[in-house]
Amino acid sequence: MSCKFVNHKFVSKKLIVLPILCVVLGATGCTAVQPWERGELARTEMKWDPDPMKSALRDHIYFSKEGSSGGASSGGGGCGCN
Amino acid sequence: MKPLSRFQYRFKAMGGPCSVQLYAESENEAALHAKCAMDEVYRLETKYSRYRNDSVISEINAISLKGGGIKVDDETAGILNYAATVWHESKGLFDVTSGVLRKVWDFKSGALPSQLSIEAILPLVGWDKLNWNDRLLAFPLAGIELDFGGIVKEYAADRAAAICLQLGIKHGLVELGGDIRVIGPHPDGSPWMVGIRNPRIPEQAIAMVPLQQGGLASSGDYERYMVVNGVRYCHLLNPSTGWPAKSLASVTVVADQCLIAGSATTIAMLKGKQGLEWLESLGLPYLAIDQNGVHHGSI
Amino acid sequence: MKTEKSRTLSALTSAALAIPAVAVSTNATADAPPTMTEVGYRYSQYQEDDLAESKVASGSTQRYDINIHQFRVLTPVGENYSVDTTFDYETMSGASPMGTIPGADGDPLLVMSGASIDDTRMDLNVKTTRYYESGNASVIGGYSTEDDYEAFNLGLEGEKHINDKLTTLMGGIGYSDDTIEPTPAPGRVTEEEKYTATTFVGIAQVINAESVLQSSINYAYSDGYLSDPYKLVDQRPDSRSSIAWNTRYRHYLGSLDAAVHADYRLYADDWDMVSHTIGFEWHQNIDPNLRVIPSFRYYSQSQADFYKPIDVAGIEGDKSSDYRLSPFGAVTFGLSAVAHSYNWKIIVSAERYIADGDLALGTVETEHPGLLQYTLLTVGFDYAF
Repeated sequence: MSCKFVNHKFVSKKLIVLPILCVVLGATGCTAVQPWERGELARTEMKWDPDPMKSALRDHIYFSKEGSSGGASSGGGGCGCN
Repeated sequence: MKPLSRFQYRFKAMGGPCSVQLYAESENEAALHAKCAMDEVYRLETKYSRYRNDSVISEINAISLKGGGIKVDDETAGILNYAATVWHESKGLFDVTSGVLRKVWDFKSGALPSQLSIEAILPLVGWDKLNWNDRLLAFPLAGIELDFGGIVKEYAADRAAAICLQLGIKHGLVELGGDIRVIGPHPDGSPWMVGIRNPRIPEQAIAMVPLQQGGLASSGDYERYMVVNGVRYCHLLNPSTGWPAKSLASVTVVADQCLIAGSATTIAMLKGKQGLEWLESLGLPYLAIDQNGVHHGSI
Repeated sequence: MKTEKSRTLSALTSAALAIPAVAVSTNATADAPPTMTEVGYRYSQYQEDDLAESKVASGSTQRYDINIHQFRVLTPVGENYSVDTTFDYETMSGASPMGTIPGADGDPLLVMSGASIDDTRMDLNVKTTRYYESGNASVIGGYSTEDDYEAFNLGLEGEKHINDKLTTLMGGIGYSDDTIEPTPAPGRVTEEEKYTATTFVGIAQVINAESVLQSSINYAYSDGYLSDPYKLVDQRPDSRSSIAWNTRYRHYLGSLDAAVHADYRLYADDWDMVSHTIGFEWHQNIDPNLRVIPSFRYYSQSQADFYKPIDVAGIEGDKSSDYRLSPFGAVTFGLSAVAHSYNWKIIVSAERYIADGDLALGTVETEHPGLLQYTLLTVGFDYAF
């Protein structure tokens, strides 16, 4: 894999720090939420993906009509879309 | 519709043996629904446990030690409102601040506490000594302790049954160490037969109560007690005197909610000689057994 | 006397009934399969805007119209498993760009296919998940087919909860094998294959009782025939390596009874393309049975290094005038309404997408004439039993 990613004008080396920072921030700046306090987090509208069929269609359309790809999943089939 | 089979799930919670019995079309369905009910019991046990540092009760009692105030969540607020109501209706006998008395009463020791030690701790007992208003719980007197012991188990039985109903179970029973809430009668409409303990031979049932719906709870002087000089002292302590209730051996009440049944049995036991009269005018079906083994009541 | 004591019973009963029923959360406390079987159906109509005459050198000005039927069944199996099956059936028709030629002022014009292309696409995907005390693992398999195309894919994914279920670690790998057999034409390839391997790792964290954050990195490598056989002049490298970094945030606003979603993706690959995607959704509860969700997405991509806005035949090396490799930006405005009760849901939604060179983050000197605008309408329902 070439280092083209890192030196591109839209991606500087500094940006690579962001995922790590995100995770560290996420893990440390948190309160210990007790099990009985997690009611709100269980709401449908708080899910990562409240409507999987809708996101599947959107992902498929954007994959076919734009140049990028990649989400937090092991991917589905591609398509020969034009 | 497939025929219903009966399933029973035993578990340990709230300091004793518990079980969820229900009728479902498959083991899969029964297990999943029973798990939801059990999870609810565990949730309440964790949330209101005196023994856990991270429970809501411990948090409240820690604030009390500093003489501060705390805003509570909706569920705790509802329970505190219920505690206020039952304190008022029992004329101060059912008091969630009386738990601190267990510091001087050690039923395993076989020795009575001194009157001095009781009098030293009594000033910390009394619902009217704290402020409960509009979601804010405040402790102008530091050191008051809340103990939901007489409320949470019965409330949990009601909640577990409610969850089973919500999930579509129509026939079943939740039992948490003697506190019972019916989900629904047997599929043929017949009631659940619930045994009432003999207060002097607690492993034996002295009566069977048919229960089609609602809740059932019992209180007795056989649950935790000690006998000193031939006199029985039990764990139900009067908040104004600091001494145990004396009179009835056991009381069982049937009500729509197990929570209410439980409060009624506790109040009846604490009322001593007036217990029977109070039960009679409450209007709920009950069975009270006095120290001579005589049965009173409509059950 | 009797009336006074029955009053006691009433007072206790009111207080008992007034204790609020807490929402039972099975998601946030335990890893368990769904308790009920759920079926879902969506019908969507996707319509790309016609091209302006001034942008087309020859061929049709019409673009794609697609009708999409999506079906889904999610069912628990035994005490620890669930199977999630989705089947998509699409029919599409329309003309498609074959290349670009210079116009009078030097700007590119589209050469469109003349006749309308009619195609049918079917996609079947099955995901089997095993639930454990503090996590789950899934096996995924899929098959997809179009008149000229066939693909198989396999994947493995897992999640592990730690830290009192407040932190979740996720990861997965996937593999896909695609075969294209384009409709015959002189000089066109007859059958080609492409292989893609992907992997991702991620972490999700409960920040507080109202907020959660997730971040993940996805790496993909494709090898084989990556070009577009229907274009007049198109030759792409025989491999593509990419990384995508996704971050998602969800926050519940109790006072408004609404949840806000914010997503960001950074993408970069060895074709020199970099893209940024930001999405927002506002899930507003109107009443216990109705939710309205406005949404906004902004996208910007830079060009692939071998992208050339105007096709020139006969030169050596990689080249393509495909608009999907050109620099552009796009916005999507959406609005959905969901009517729901505990075991059913009805969804209606509409979305408008507009791509334009002026919307890109960098400066686009020559905008591709084939940038898209489309409208997407969806209706559907979910039912659990």
